[in-house]
Formats: sequence, C-alpha cells, structure tokens
Amino acid sequence: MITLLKDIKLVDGYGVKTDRDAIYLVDDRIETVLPPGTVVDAEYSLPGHLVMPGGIDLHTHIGGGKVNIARLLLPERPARDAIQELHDRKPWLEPLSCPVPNTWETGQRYLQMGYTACFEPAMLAANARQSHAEMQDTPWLDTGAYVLLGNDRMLLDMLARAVPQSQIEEYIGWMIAAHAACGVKVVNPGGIDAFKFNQRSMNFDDLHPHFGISPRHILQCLARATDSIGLAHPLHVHCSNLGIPGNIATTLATIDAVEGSRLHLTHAQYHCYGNEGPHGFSSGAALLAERVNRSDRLTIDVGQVLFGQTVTLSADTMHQYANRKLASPRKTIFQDLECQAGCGVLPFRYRQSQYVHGLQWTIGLELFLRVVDPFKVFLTTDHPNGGPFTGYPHLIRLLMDYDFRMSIFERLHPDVKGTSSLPSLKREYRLDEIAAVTRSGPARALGLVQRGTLAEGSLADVVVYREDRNAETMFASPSMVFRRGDLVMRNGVCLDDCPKATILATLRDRDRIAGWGRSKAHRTSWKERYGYSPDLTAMRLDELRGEGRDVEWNASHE
Amino acid sequence: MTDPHETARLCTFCSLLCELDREDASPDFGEAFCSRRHREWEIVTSARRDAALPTIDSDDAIDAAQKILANSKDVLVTGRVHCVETARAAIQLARRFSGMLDLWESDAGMDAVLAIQKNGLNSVSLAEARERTDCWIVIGSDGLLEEVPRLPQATSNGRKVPMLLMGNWSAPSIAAWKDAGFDVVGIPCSMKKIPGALAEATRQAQNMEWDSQVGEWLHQAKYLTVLWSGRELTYASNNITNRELWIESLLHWIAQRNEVIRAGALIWSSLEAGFQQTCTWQTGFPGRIRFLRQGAEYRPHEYVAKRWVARKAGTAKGEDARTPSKPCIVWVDDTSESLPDPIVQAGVPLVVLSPRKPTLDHPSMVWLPCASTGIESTEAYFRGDQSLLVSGRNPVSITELPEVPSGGSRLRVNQWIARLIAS
Repeated sequence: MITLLKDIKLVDGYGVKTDRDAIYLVDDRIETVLPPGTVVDAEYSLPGHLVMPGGIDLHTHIGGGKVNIARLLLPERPARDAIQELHDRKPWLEPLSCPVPNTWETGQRYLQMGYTACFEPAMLAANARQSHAEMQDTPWLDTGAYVLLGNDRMLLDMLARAVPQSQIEEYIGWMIAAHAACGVKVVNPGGIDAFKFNQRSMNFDDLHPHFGISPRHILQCLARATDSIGLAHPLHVHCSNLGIPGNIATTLATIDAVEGSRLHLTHAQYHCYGNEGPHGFSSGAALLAERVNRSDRLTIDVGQVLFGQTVTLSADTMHQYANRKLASPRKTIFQDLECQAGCGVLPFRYRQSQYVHGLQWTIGLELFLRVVDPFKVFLTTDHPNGGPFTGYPHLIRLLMDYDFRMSIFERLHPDVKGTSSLPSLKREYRLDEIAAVTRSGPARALGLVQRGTLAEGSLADVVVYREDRNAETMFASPSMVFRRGDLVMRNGVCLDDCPKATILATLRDRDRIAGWGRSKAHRTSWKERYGYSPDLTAMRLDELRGEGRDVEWNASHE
Repeated sequence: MTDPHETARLCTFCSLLCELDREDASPDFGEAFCSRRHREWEIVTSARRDAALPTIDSDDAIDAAQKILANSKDVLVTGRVHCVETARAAIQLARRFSGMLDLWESDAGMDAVLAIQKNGLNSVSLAEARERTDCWIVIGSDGLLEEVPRLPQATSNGRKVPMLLMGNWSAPSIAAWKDAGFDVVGIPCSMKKIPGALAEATRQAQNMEWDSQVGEWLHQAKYLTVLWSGRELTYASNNITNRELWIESLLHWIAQRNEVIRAGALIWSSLEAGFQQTCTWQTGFPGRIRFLRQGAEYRPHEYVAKRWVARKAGTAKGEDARTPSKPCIVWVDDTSESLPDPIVQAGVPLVVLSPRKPTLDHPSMVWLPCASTGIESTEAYFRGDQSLLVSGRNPVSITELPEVPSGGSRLRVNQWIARLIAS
C-alpha cells in the first residue's frame, strides 16, 4: 500500500521541513521519494494541513491493578444530556465517561487526538500480566510499561545485605525481561514499603525502619543499574515527598545524588514546591528548570494540573494516604501489594478558586516555559492524576497562546496572581516545539528511533492536522491518522482496528540476566518471599503476540 | 530472543491457583494434596464421560444457536466465567446482541463491589499479608476451607502468628489453621455480629467478651489482616440480611484502625473475580450491565441474572418460540458443573456453552460442547485476592481424561463465541 500526502506542511520535533511538501507512506514506512513509475494507491492533496509523527505519551496510567480499581471505584457517569450539549458545541469537549475510561474508550480518544503509542508508567511485577492484558484490549495504540522497583523487598533485602551491584543488575534485568517491560520506575524509593511498617513520612536520607537503607541508596543503585544494563530509557523517578511544600529540596537532592547517571523525573510539577509565600506553598519551578537546562542527562515530564474532576492514583500509598481527607467524592482505596509496592486511589477535583490548585497549575506551565530545550520536557498530565489526557489540546493551547494563558490565570486565587511569575514568561511554543514535547522528545527518551520523526525510513504512524489559529481546536480533532501506513481515523471516526505492538527493552547481556531466574538460590528466596516461584508472574513473549499483536524492541542505550 | 524463565504449572480448580510441582501433578489426584482438587477432578471426569456419548456437528450447532439469537431481542448472557479469555468472549457476545450480562452467582462479588463503591477500601494482598501480618482475624466457617482448602498453608510464612478465628469453625478446621503454624484462638460467634463486636472491642478493650489474650493481641498488633470470603456471607445459615452493610461496617472498622496502626482487608474471591476484573477494564463496570446503543449501562440492583430468569420464566411459557421479542439465555460456562435448576426450568430458548452436556432435552436448547479450560487449554485466571493474574500450562495431560468423542477436539468457549459472532 502506497499513500501520498501532498501539498502539506511537514513538522516534527526537529523542525518544519521547508524543503518538502509531500510524504509517501509505503507499507509501514515513510519515504520521501519513490522510484520513477511507481503507482500510488491513494493520494491526498492537503493544502492548509500539516503532518506530524504519531503522538507518544510516555507517562499515562492506562493499564494495571490501580487503574482498574479506580474504574471500579467510580461507576458514576455524567448525565447523557450534559454530554450531548457539550458534544453539540465542541466535540473535543465531550468529557470522558469516567476519569479513567475503559480500555476501548482510552484507545479511541487517544487516537482521535493523534496519539499512537502510550506507556503505562507503574507496572507492578505481580500485576504485569493484568497490565498487559488491559493494554492489549486498548485498541489502536502501541503500548509499553515500566516495571516498578525500589519498594520490592527482594531488592531492599539485597541492598541491606550489601549484595554486589552486578547481582542486583541481573535481578533488575530479569524483572524487566520477565515482565515484558521497557523501563524501570521507582516511586518514593523505600517509602511505600516503610508505610507498611507504619512509617508515615520518609525524607531522602531517612532510614527504612526494617531494612535500614535510605531512599538515596536505593535510587543510586537503580540509576546505576539502568545505565549499566543498557536500558534506553533512564531511570523513571517519582521522587520522595510528593506534593509536600518545600519538596524542591528533595528533588534537587535526588538529582545531585545520581550525578553521572541519566535520570527522568516524572510529574515534576508535583515535586517542585517551595514553602514560602502567604500559604507556605510556593513555586520551585525556576530552580528545577535551571537544573534541567544545565544537564544533558536529565529529562522531565510535567504532570500538568488541569481544572476539573479527576481521580488520583499512585503506587505512593504513603502520600496518597496522607491526602485521604481531600478525596472528592469522599471514598478512597488503599492497598498493600505483594511485598512489591502499594496502591492509593483518591477521587479529586482541581478548582480554579483554590490557592494550592491554582499554584500547581502555574508551576506546571512554568516548567514548560522555563525549560529551554523541548527535548528535555514532555507533555503529560500524569493521566489521570493531574487531569484526563483529553485535556492535552487545551494544554497545548496554553503553551502556544500567551493571551489565552493569561485569560485563565486571571481567574485564579488572588494570592496566586500576586506571587506567580507566570505573567513574565511570554514564551509561546512553536509547532515544532509542540511536536518535540508530544512525540519527538518522548521517542528519543524511550529509544524509539523510528518514531517521533518524519525522516526517511521511519514508522508510518502519522497524523494530519488542519491548521487553525486555535491550537486547541487543531490538536483536538486531527483530520486523519495513519498507523503503519493505513488510514485508521478520519474526521473523528475510528476506522479499522490495526496491528498493535508491545514495546520491550533491549538489554545488554540477556543470557546473564536469564540466569538470575534459573538460579536455585534465587528461586528459593523468591518462593520464600512470595509463596510462589518467579515463573508464576513472568510472561512469555507469545502471550504478547497473536491476533494482530506483536512485540517491538527499542534501541539499547550505549 | 527466548523468554528468560520457565512456565508455571497450575491447579485451576480453586482461586488459590496453587503451583504444581512435578510430583503433585500425578494422575491419581489424591486427596493428600487438596480435597477440593480431588473433588473437582471427579466432576471434570464425570462430565467428560457424560458428554462423550454424542457427537456434535459444529456447523449445525452454530446454525441452531444463531437462529435462537436472531429470534431474540432480549438476550441474557450469564453463566460461570472463571478465566479472562472466556470473560472477554462473553462480553463481546453480550455487546454484539445488545444483551444483559451478569454472572449467575454474582452476589458475593457484587456485595463487596457495592460496599467499596460507597465507602472505599483498605486492603492487602496475599503475599503481603503473609509476610507483614502480626495478627490475623479470620472470619467465616468451615465453608471457607471447603472452598480453598490450602488457604492456611498459603497464609502462613512459618512464624507463629496470632490468629483470631471468628465465626462457626469445627474442631478439624481450627486444627487445620493450627497445623499451618498459627497461634489460634477460636471465637465462636454469630457472623452477623462480628463487625459490631470488633468495633466494640476496640472502643472498650477492658470489657471485651473474650479472654485477655485476645485483647492483648489486638492491642499489640502493628499489622492486622482481616480475612473473609465473600461467598460465605451469602450462605443462608449465616443469617446476614444486609451483606453490603455488613461489609461496609467491617471496612469502616479497618479504616479506623489504619489511623493508628496498619490494617487491611483480604477479601477472598472465587475465580469469578476474573470476570469482574475483565468486565471492569472492558466496559468500566464489574458486571450487571446491559449494552445499549451508547455503551454499557450499569444497574447493580436491577440487571441481576437470577431476577431476569425468574421474571422471564413465567412470561415465556406458552409464547410462540418464533416470536421475535422472545427472550433467550446464553449460558457461558468454563467449569464442568451442571446447569442450575432455574435455568433448566425457565423454559426460554437456551444456548449452552459448556464442557458438560445439559441433561435438559428441549427443542429450543443448543449445546456447544467446550474444552475444559485450564485443563485442555491454557488460560489466565485471577487469584482470589485479585492482585495476581496468572497463566499456567495445563495441570494434567489430556490423556488422563476420558476419551474425546470421535469428531475431533473441542473448541474453547471463546472460539465458539467467535464463530457465533462472526455471522
């Protein structure tokens, strides 16, 4: 199948292609020229349109235990009349049926915005098969997941016993390979487990009440291992002290602690709070952005807050539990899970009139605007924690349109307006910068060399947008989406289902890693800990393949 | 690249999903390993023997089933669904025919869901509880151990941990918990009164009805786990009239304990939890839904299979089977149990997807003989605490089952459903 898109502007994170105005989709690849005499199967002349690579969300909670628990907790649905009214006015404003929609709706709504790959950021090893099953049932999207480590007692025990780093790396590599992950995430290192020992807070250098090791120690070990085993994606870090005023100090200490290793700080907005100002809560965005700008080993995703109803869900039970009284509606779920982590689910409403929520909104935007290189900052709301992913077009408009940004800023709590430096940040994102924060940057950070770019030979996952002065309109309703060269969405209507891939990590020295799971000593200690063998939760690759599904290996970090 | 691990071998006869060592998988399925496994194996083999008699022409069967579905505008999809693959297929079928979807024995699961949807939950998974708990409260009766015989071994980590066994336990059951290594105190009491008794115990430790040892355990506990099985609450003998409220009260007590210490509920589910989970991620709801044009509608007190059957059974009698509005039932079953009486007696056109041949001989009934899931095919199941989804190789060799009737191997439930929908 050969498709020609012509008379069109080509934009990716590497710039606007001024030398070309056409692109060929040849089967599943992008080509810029074809041999003379080649017959094209479909041709679209698209003046007034632009094409970008498919969007990539590198941090969105779309599959696994806590996601499904959130669905279960929130059976309430908006009234159909209300939905219809919004739908009639602006289709992209149609709310999700639930802040954590079912798998089909998730796939559909992402595709309708031009996203083609999404990554579940917190997959418990015990829960890996469920996470993948949910993602397999999410149509149209390629998916991947980061395995959650750093609160698993196998690792904590190894650190406490001062096991050599090489053995720890084998364990980490095995956990990634056996649970079909493409990265490693750490959440509040050691803190989730400490909460199980009834410790209600944990600073970066506090010692775990049972294992006697600190978050710093855990983080350093994981960051070193991630680089050493060749993972393309750096350690994905949810820092200690999430949401606590003054936590910018912890975040900066975290960055300093792993000097020399690569690091990705996730939902950074929740981790850069000062404790100054009228309410003892202020922005630390300038300090964090300055670090990001200075480092070539540090990336962040923002976790932007958007106003409205959502649900927060996190493995960080310690901090979710601390916020339990803020739940709206007033019901919460907390779980201690399998000696590996936890889960806290808390419905939440972000309000414009509320000081903290308003400041969180400005802090997220500050981060976007202060980080100079758009390949170091990625667009996320930490769906659904900061708000549902369907808010991305709105967020893009906030970044591209200063006046629009200020029109919302004006509605915030007076103390936010009095203290925030947001009005002084006049930067407006260009289209290629939007492409960088929504596809090219995440692709590079994940080692997906054939994605996020319109270069010759890249994957033919592309999106066609009708140019519009209103960026929200433009990015909410692309005209066409192609997956592997096939048209799968046109004017909001999702057409055929398409092949899907699970993205997996390429690891160095896989044989050595495989040996970890086969070692009798390791199998015995695993069984003593969990009551079952490591084979029980490990996945076979053939489980990920079949019926239009396959696996795709990312590039290894060199 | 190859997988860096072996494949687990599982017993899928109860929601504990025990891993089988090579010696455990011996053909005799002796009671020594597990009484439930011994019993279920008898059921499977007897179902297989009964069903081995007729041969089914699959094209004819599919045609007949499709006719029933085509003539109906009110389809109920119900049954006993244990694995994710069957759940996916059942959902797809109900969606295709705009039907109502509810498992036959959904009360136990839905009681807990409704309580959680109202007030939330503090819970703990099995391995976590096994490792962290320093005081167990196990609520129930012998029925729990009939349902999951190896639960005492699965909850014990070898340390002598205090356990309050509340409810109606016989001496052999108490002994089973003790043998697993727990320091057990049995507290015979009415199940109905347990949430209130626990609340009272916390408020007025000095006035507890039970002995001081119990008070001391509760007082000293740093991590408390409260274990019960949802199914047991549905037993009439336990006389719990409002199960939802009972669960809410207990969850409230656990939430209060968490203000001071750590505590969690370990609500043990049957294998049907797999359906609940799958239905939740595919539709947003755990079951008791009807598919409408705009999606699934959830009415947990209305879309109940047993009520639907009771309602339709009367009205269906005497009506012309070809009437387009006539209701029909699709019974989806991945166990080897027989059809429940109300389904047999309903008198509504029936499509049965099950390994066991229905004893019913009715012109409006079609049987699509299915492979035994977890035995003849490898599927994914949720463990009873719903924290683990596992997929194991067949626990036994097919040669240990009575011979398959001539006509070839059987289709799995989801393969039949794919054929039904394909038309």
